[in-house]
Amino acid sequence: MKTKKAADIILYVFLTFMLVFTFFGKDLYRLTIPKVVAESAKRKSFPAEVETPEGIFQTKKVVIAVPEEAISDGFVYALNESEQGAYVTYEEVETGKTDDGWVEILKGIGARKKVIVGSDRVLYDGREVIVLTEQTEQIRLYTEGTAEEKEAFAKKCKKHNIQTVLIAMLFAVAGAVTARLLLRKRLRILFAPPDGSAVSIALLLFSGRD
Amino acid sequence: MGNFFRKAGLLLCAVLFLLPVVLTVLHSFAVQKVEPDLFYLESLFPKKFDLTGYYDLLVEDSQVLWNFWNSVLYALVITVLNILVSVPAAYSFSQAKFRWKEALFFFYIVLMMMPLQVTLLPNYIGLRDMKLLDTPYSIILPAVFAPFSAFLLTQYMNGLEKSCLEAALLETKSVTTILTRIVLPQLRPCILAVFIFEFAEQWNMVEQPNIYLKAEKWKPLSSFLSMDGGLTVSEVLAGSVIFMIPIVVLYLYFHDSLEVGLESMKL
Repeated sequence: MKTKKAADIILYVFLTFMLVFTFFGKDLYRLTIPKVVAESAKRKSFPAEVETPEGIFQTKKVVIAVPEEAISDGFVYALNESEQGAYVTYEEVETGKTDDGWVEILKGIGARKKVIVGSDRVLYDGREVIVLTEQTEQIRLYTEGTAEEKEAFAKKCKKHNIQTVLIAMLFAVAGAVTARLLLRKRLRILFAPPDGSAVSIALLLFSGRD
Repeated sequence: MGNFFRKAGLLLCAVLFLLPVVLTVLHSFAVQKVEPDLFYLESLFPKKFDLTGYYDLLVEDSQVLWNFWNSVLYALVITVLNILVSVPAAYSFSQAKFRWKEALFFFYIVLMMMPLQVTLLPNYIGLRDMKLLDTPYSIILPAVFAPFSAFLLTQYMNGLEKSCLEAALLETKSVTTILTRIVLPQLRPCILAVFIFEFAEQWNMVEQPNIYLKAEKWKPLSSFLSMDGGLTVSEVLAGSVIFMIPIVVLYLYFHDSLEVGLESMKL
């Protein structure tokens, strides 16, 4: 009898989790995808010096430049968009002068290539991202904030993610338990988890989940 | 002293059998530093644990979940349909009197003893001609008529009380009535045993989906885990744990019936 009770619990929890992940896995995944703001590398007019026998003259030259925020320790994250989604790739760059918030790119990326100028999470090569059209408060905090602000924000994000996943799981388990109480007959056990998950899905839908 | 050695021997056997399962479960929670496709474990027992394998498998790569539900669908549908086909077949082999019955049963057993690889090509050609390749039917239809369940049920039915069936024949001439009212209630432990065998068999199938199916969306979990490429050690082991759970639960539910069924079938 104890074995069957254990089997009951394992089956309920397992099937509930599998159903929750099946229906909400993508939503949970989206929670962890970094949201980024991208800017294209542009041809800009930069101040330059021309050395002649008469002396050094100040002039202008057109160079490929990216916003200062995109450069980090000699590399940028380039944005690659396709039908499958948006991904970032790690690109090493050689930089030149800085002018008015833009950095000259001597080598590494071409003009019109989009680079990441702000992200609300840590990026790495090949990571999927969601591209936002404008800077949000979260991205501004993460990109421009101080080390303490960034740390506090990262903690807040993680807490929020864990809370969301836990709430989803809690509803799922509650749904499964309710179904188990409603359907006591052994033969009906097989049908209980989907019902349980239906309850949990309904609860999640009405719980204001983002 | 003899008792001690016997127990020690049994304990050793138990450890040897359980070690791969325990290592699979432990390493599915382990932090793996190795690159995808390099299938080796850094140490026998992991030092650090996390849920990355499960996260990557269940949240990041949702394909595996559909493969899991495909496995559930295939195993359940095939098992139920196979039992529905096997019960009347077994009743005929056991109770009906007709010419060449013994010869037919002999060929049935020969078919059962044949390795799967022998029938794969004829099945493939048949499915291709019926334009069923790359559809769930290519997995379900050949398996529904597998002879193993009919053989087990025939063995069990041979052991049923003849007098009981003869008494029923005095009451009615309807075979359906006798089958449903007299035979089926007595078959319950055997059907449960067959259900477990058949479910486990279909749950573990690898060759058929790998050959008959191309689209990833129709493949079962067993096929997904046998693929080479794109998965890390943690993901494969996490998938293996998920793959194990339904069979373990099924055994926990029905192990009493399985033992009774096997005993009554004299297996």
